[in-house]
Amino acid sequence: MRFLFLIFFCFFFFIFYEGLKKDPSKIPSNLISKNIPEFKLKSFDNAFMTNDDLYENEIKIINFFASWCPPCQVEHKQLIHLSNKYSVFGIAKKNKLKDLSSWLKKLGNPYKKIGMDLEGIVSIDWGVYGLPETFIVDAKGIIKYRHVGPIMKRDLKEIETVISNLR
Amino acid sequence: MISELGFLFLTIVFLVSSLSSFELLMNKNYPKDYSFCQRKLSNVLFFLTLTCFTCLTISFINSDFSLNVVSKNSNSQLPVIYKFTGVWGNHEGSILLWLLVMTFFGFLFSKSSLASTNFKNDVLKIQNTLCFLIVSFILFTSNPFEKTFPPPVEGADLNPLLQDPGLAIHPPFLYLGYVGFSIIYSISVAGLSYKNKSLFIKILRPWVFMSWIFLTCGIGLGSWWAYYELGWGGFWFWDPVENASLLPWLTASALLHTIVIADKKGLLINWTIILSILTFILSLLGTFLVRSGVLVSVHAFASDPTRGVYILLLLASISAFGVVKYLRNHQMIASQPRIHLVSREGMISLNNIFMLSLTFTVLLGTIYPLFSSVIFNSKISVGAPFFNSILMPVMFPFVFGMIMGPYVRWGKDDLIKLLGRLKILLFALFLISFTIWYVNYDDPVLAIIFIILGIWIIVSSLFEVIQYKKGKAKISSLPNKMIAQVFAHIGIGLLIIGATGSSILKKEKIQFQEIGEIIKVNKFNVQFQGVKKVEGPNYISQMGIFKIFIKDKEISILKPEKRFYNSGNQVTTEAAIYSTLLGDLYIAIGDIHQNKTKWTTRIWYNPYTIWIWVGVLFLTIGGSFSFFNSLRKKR
Repeated sequence: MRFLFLIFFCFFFFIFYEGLKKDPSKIPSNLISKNIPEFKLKSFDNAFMTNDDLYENEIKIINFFASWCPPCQVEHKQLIHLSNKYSVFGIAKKNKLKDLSSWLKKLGNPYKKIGMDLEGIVSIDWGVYGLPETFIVDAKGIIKYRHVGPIMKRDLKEIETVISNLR
Repeated sequence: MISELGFLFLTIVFLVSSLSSFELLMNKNYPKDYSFCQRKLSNVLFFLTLTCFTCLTISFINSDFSLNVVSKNSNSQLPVIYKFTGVWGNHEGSILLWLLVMTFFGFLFSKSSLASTNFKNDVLKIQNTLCFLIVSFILFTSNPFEKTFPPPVEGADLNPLLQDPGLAIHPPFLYLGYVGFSIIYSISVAGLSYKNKSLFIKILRPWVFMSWIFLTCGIGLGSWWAYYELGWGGFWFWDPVENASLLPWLTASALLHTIVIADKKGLLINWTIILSILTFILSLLGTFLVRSGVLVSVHAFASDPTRGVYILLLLASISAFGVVKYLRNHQMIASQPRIHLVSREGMISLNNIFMLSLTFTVLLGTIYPLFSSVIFNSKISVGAPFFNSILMPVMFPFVFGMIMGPYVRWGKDDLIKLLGRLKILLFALFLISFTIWYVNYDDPVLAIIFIILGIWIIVSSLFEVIQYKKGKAKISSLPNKMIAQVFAHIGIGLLIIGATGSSILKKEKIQFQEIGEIIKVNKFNVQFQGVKKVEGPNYISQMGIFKIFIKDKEISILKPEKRFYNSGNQVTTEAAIYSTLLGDLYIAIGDIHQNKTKWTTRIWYNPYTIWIWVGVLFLTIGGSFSFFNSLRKKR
């Protein structure tokens, strides 16, 4: 009886102790290995951006951002670095056109095309709960990877390995 | 200066309480003459902690931003009441409040008249050691008097969600409940080696009721706050933190049923002790889950792994101590006679079995994500569907037990005779169910069933009173324990009805609403009148104006708000609620549409929601009657 208690006790202790080392906020996206959700948005260059734009035959990075979001500014340098090697698409959440254009003028524009998600509905479809978030989509339009929060310098290596594995 | 004083007092609390724990560890080979007077120690501890807490409160009210906690959780613009409640609106301050309540219970117990001096010393030795563990946690990992340098000019503000009167009183009540279980733990563990078991149960009894009442109030206030402040239209979300408070509540509810048998018949004393220890362990487990950040929850406190490890050690040592003490001493209690199933004792035992299985399932659902993440390395979340689906089947035997239980005799009863005694009641219940079914024919079956169950409980409780009154003339001659039981059971019945209404029967409409547009929800016509800007003491608010009509008659104007707090750019939703006995109209306002003429509005109709709070009130009243009853018995 006592032995049983001891095992039970140690088991719980072990689970809780191990649990402390894990970060519960890291939740993988449900969209991983699924097709990108359909959408149609006005684009920054006054045309349209749809999910068809993301089916082009190459690997793409899709970045959800906004000019009003300070962490987005933090990752901007890294995005410009990535845009030299890969094609980067942006979806601006609840962003005014005027604010966005002055923001991009100041920091540079890494995006091939920017969709204006004025009501934030596309962001909801993608399961974006905070800005910035970044997805990697393969040549067939299937979501392969999700990064929550700003892309820091230390994250670049992981993103580049993910992309080189896809090739 | 004041903060330094506070820190000094905290250190003294640490030193004084360490004396108690030293004595507990040295238990056996300690000469009697040198032992400390634990009663005096616990008085000293209480007053020292009170001073310490006052120092922190003064620092908050004076906006002393040189203190880390104050600079992070307060602001000079903050209204004074929230400067005051901000003291426990953060991790460090709330743990200090925890310590204060713990020492307060020790202090109260030292004044309790019933226990012998020796027994008091034994109990307080344990209680003071618990205080020692908590105060060392405060000193080493979450010191509220930690300085920050250079001191900022302005503080970062209290989380706007917490700037609300409902939240101001919710944590203290919850703590009075949670921490009240510490004294139950101490009494039970000390009582294991106490000869006079019936006296021990009498000493324990009022504390159980007291802590249970506070916990019930605390949970009720918390869910009431969530209902009107979060703007989600619900009152219970099966969030890990809510579950953490529900677990000890369930075992404590089981405990206050068994303790009645233990007191009256001298049965199930072992079980009562197990439940007492378990209840406190579950309270601590809840604290661990909330404060260590192992689970995702809306109650996000800044998580810190070292704190997590410390609370885990605390949890492990306190539960190990309780379990080991129990295993060593439990044979001393004489073996017990058998309990018949059809008897009051049998029914209460059944109630315990259901309560405990419910506790276990809720516990499993709450910590399963942790298990799966550690063992299978996969992330899952267990949400409301799981909890709702396990709760429903358990409700049936539970309600039947509640209906039959009070009519069954102590000792041994006969099922046929029992049914004979209840034939009028059973017939009435049948008739009522049939009527409800007929009137609400279009509603979902599940809702009808649960509402019928709720009404059954209420009717059978009232029937109990009527039957009792038949013999005696006056209603004032009702015994306290019967009033307590009737009130509490009616409370549960109301709770079931309210919860069913606001979950299964709720109607929700989310839309872009144009100014002047009328949306019809249930019998209400809701006309949107536009939005105006309102300035509060430390926020700017967008206040939506809604006129409410029934047919063409205007009955009320509702003003839900979206508040933007000046500091920290945080936004809160203040829902506006029009409550009626049959249901609440609940409106929350969202963002403006890009064409500037429409707003997102969310309108709910939540039937019977008000009965949830009335139910909680009934439970509290019932608990209070039991509490005073157990006090009176002592004399």
